[in-house]
Amino acid sequence: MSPLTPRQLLDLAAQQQVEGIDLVSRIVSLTPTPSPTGREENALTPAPSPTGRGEVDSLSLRERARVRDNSPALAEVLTPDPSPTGLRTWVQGLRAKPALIVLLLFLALALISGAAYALGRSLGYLPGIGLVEQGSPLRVLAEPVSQTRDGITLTVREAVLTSERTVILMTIENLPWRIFGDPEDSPLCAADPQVRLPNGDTLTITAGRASANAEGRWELRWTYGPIPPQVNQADFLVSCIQGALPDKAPEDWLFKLRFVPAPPDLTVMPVQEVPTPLPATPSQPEHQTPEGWRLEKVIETETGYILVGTFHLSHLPYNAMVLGFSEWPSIIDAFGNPVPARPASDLDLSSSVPGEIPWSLEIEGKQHAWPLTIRVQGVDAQTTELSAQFSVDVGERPQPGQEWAIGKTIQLGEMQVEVQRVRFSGRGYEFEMKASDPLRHVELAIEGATAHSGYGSSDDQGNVQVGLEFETPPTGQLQVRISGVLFRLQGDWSFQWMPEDAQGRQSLFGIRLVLDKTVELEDGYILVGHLEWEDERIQLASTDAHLFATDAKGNRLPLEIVSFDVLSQLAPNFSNSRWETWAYRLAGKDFLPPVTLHLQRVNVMLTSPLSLTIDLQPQGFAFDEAHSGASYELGSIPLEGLPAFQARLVRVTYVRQQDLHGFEFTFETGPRLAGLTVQLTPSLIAGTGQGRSLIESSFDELSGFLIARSLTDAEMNLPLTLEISDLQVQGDWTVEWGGQ
Amino acid sequence: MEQLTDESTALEKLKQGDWSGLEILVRLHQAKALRVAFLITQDVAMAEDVVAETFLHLATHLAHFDQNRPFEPYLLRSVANAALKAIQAQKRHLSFDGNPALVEEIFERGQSVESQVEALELSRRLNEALQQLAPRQRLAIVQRYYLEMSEAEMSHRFGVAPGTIKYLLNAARSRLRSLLGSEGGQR
Repeated sequence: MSPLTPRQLLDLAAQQQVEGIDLVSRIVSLTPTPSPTGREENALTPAPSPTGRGEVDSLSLRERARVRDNSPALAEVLTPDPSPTGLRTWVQGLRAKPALIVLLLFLALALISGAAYALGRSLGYLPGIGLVEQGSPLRVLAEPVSQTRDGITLTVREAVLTSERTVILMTIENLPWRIFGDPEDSPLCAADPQVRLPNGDTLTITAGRASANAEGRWELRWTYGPIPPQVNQADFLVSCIQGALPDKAPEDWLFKLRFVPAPPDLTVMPVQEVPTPLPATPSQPEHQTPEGWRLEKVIETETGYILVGTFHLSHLPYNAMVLGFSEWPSIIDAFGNPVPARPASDLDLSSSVPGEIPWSLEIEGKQHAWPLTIRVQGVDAQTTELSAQFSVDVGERPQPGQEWAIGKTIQLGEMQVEVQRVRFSGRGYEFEMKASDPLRHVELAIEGATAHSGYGSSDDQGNVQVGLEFETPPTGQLQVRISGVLFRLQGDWSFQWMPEDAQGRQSLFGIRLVLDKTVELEDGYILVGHLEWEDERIQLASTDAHLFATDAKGNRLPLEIVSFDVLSQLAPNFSNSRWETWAYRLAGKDFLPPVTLHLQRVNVMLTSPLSLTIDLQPQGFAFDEAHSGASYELGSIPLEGLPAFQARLVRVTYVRQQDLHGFEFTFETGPRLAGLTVQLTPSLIAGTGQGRSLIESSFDELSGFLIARSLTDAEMNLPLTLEISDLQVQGDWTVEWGGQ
Repeated sequence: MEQLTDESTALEKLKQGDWSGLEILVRLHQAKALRVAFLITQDVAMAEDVVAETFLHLATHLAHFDQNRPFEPYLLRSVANAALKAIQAQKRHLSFDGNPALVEEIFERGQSVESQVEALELSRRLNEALQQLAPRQRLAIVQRYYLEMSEAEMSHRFGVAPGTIKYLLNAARSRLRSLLGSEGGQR
């Protein structure tokens, strides 16, 4: 046996004690749970079930309580958080780094030419590399180039050269973590690797990304400008490992790279350009830039899909500009189940349009309940139009640590911020403020003094801190100016998407809510629409009065169903020839458009009923009083034909109720099946009974089972044949209306 | 490649307020984090709490994390410090008569281990030796030998002079030899 290092011995000693412990569910249970609406619930509040069943995971709650009791820091984490997100978003992070915002904007502007150049070209997608131009010659690295120094191995693993850019992938292995300093340590290596051409020119770097795995293996990806087609070699220089302390790791690595034409079998996945903006708001004039989401590209990968697009809002209050999403968009399937997705890590996204957010979503899996709904309910915006000033007298000799209480509330448009106190740090001043929703952050400047650095932070409780540091801090009467304001814009922006070939191949998933017509009344509107579907297994889908409406801020609007008799009086030209048509009256006109109509439950009649046969004879069952209340566990029989509902029959109970008798069927179902009706028609003996029956279904909230009852006054035979043709399906179907 | 992508994605998700990123990070790093926590706390339940707490804490403070750095060292260092705090908060650990040099001696024996059984026995003895150390000494051992920090780095983290670290690691070596001798003179 080979010698064990101290590290291996320690590893072995600990491994024997903690091997197999899995903290995933425990830690995840302590995080805010995204709800189907995209809002997050506090960690100690049971997340509402999409079915409304209100299941509570008691074990999980006990665990939460135990951890909370033992851990003061956790109690802090678990403190109810009124904000939709318990985390600082990347935009909030940016607030603390105004210079970074400037840099990002600069980069966006710097990329304008490239973005414009790419327009109109057919694009392809190379995993790990990103978008490439279809048809144009591609070159790749002739062979990986590797070097090991002091046990650390750097490998230029891959490179792809297009006519517009050069992407280089490198791995670093066996990197001891001790070479990295703390964030406060300086100076740390920050130099980007250089690509140097034979003529001495170096390429401009446009993007970089790095990540590391549990074994300390790094994966790095850099994007540079293009290498001229006649140049087939270049030097790749890594002056130091980024983030490392000086002299802690070998420096000045040089790799000789050689490029060759891409092999013919290099698979470039096609990128589907989406020609029409989404969502298609009925009132949206065609020539305007669409508001909200815009889907621009769809890439089908081996394991899922990548959606790429932009998010745009104009005419914001205070002439503000959108900075980014306040929260990670929620993605749910047709039945409200969350769908795993992440930003595509190999796409270098940028936008040349101020206030436009480029986005990408890499959706895992291809077997989803289509369509997917992508939703965001808050964006962060910034304005420089609002400004205010306040003063504080810090005296001529402020001392480090000295504080001054301010207690002044400042009005910024319709928003407020209270400047609570100012503290002298020795190098400058720290301002503590309390912002009222929706204000999130402010930028400060001191008149007559130029800060050489600044920092800031804000949390979801409205606490804002801004620090300004100076070569020579100003003293005396300070005139402090609020020069920039960041605020959150609440709303509900969503769009639905499904792969082009998905229609019809999913069970019941192709249902869409369509708005056909609006009729303006003196005191409101009549909204008329219908449901559409492609699935041939659906005979009929109807709304069954489960529509509701929200305005642009997500506020509920008064909506009531309109009978077609009333509708025919209000809109004489309207003819209803379809059962799936719906009509609602929206009361009032004082709302913020667009209006979103939501449908969360659909009644579905199947073209062919699902059938299931059960033989209770082996259990000695008979249709008599003695067996009334007798239950038979069936294991778990799947309801074939609708796999997405995950419905399984687990128990059947014989029921006698006055002159009716029949069965109670207990189903274990997925959250999207709200109800079903069971007919026992094939088992009934013709000519018996008066035709009376009782057919119903409901959820047993205690057990979480769906209980369907089917009673009749007719006699029955065994085996028992169940037929299911009517379902109640839960989901979140929406359609937007511009409100005019 | 998958893990690398996962971590990068997880960090991005968390920075954007999406808690699902945390699950990915936990899956990737919980095993090593639990080992670090256990080595210092010598208590499985406390190690679990420490790791859970640290993950949640880091998730809520990720805005301070530079994504261009590897996450694991950042996490393990935090776990080690949190483990020390957790064990120090427990009043039951008041006095320790253990000796860090005993641990070092076990490490030396690891150099000549000949069988799996012997390795397991040595690791068991290592746990026993760790249990007899003061929490601060355990942290020193874990930082020096598991996290492979230099003594200079450790002194910087501890905020004490390098000599103190050396003391924590090497004190009473002669006494150790006699202790080992009393265990049967296995050397």
